[in-house]
Amino acid sequence: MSAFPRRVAVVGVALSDVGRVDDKTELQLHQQAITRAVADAGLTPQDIDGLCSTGTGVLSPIEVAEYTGLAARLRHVESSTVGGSTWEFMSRHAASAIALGLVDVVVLSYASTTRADLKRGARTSNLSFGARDNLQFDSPYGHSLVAKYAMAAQRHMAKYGTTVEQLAEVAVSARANAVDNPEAYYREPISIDDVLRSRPIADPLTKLQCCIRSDGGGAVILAAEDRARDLAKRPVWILGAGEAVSHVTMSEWPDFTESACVRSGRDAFAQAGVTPADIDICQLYDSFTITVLLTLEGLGFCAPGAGGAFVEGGTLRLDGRLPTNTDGGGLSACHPGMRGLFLIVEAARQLRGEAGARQVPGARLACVNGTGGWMSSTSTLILGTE
Amino acid sequence: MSDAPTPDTVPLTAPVADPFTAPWWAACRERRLLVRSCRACGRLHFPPRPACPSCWSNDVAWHPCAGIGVVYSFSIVRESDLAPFSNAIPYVPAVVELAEGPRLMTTIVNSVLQAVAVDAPVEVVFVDRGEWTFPTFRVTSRLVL
Repeated sequence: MSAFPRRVAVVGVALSDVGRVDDKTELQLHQQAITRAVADAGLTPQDIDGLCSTGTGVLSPIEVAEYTGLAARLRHVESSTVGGSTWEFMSRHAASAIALGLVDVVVLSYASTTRADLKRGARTSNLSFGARDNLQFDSPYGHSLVAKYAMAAQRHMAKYGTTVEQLAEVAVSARANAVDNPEAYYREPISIDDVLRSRPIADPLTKLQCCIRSDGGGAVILAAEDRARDLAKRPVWILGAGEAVSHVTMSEWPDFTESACVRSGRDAFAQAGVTPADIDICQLYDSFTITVLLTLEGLGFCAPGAGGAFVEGGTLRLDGRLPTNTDGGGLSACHPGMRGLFLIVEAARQLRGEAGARQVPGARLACVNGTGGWMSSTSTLILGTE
Repeated sequence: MSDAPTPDTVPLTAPVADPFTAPWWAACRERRLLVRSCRACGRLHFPPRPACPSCWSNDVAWHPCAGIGVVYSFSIVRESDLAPFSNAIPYVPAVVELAEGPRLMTTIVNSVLQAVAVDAPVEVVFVDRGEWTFPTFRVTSRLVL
């Protein structure tokens, strides 16, 4: 896994309106986020020649390209569809294309009005994918998204003795971090008791261990080294990247206690030439509390099975040993359905020193890990200031 | 102590079978649980494919199972907004590891909720529902609490 032959940086990041957005469509949020990210980078629309997006409809990136008027100038268009980790996959693909000289400035965008749609009854919180092929052996039994993650937690607890209090600490830490983020959806501190006494959804997961459902979007701009040097903000370099997929049918997941990030992380760390011990901050997809434990273990921040003990005592909080999900994560800050893009935005803000009250002092090296589906896909990015 | 659903109350929805999988569903109707067996590499697999996902051989046949296994993992669902499952709370989706090796997604019936546990032994309970028959499972051990 060699370094990118032409260095690639995150040069612009932005969020659209987030939280409760009842007055805008998804494409309007895409346009808002892309406009803000272009301004953040100090670029103009004419500089963009690549666009990656998914989630709006059947022709996602083209819909966004058309709406923003970028279609005619694009020479790199991508729409991976691997769930919430999609934007980490896209970053690796875009960085590879930039490194090869196929494209210079690529925009990644995402937006969703999940909360507003749920409120209007326009969708349910359970995704439905039909009942054909392998799904005919899955959908009849009501294995909801939460139940799938709950089964991973159940297996982890049985195999390693992980406790519900340890799982709850992940949610408590995320909320503690959200307190200092004015853009976070929930900012009132919570206790382990609060988490465990919240409504049971699918044992052992309670309401406060499930990602929130908010509205919002964001955009990230990647550019080649020669463009990145003279832009508005300090470049955040993509030092390493990896991607891996596992299963769609739960019975095909070989080990419910092992994330595919074992593979994506290995490639990303090898390419960057660093180890977990070198990392200052993490942004790890937290669809549910168990997701974070499996990710910490899979990436090598602790041994397999040791995730519960690792997070105890506030390890993941802003003042902890490994500040993680520093914006409050999907558990407290922002989760419109697919959170991958927000992980990159927050990592870049921390590495630039722009995170305000929640800034982790001296953050120079970040690990970002997206997880999609029901532990179906993972992609790892190593980002750094040097 | 509360219980998992019964064969009468367990929530189930219709599959979309196809010509290749129709024999599997027909076997369930006859109280036989099948997986696939590869004659080339000897491996069993499920969900069924025409070709072996391990070695890609086409020399694959249906293989009967004893209908016993253990709970690989499970959850007790206590809240859902997806009918008909939302009308049958609590229910117990599970992944069962068959004695023969392959796992399948299923749901637990006729069991005390507290007895459902990782590695608990289970046996198949075929449930007829309209034109379909589903392999559900019940816990066979008496857990000492």
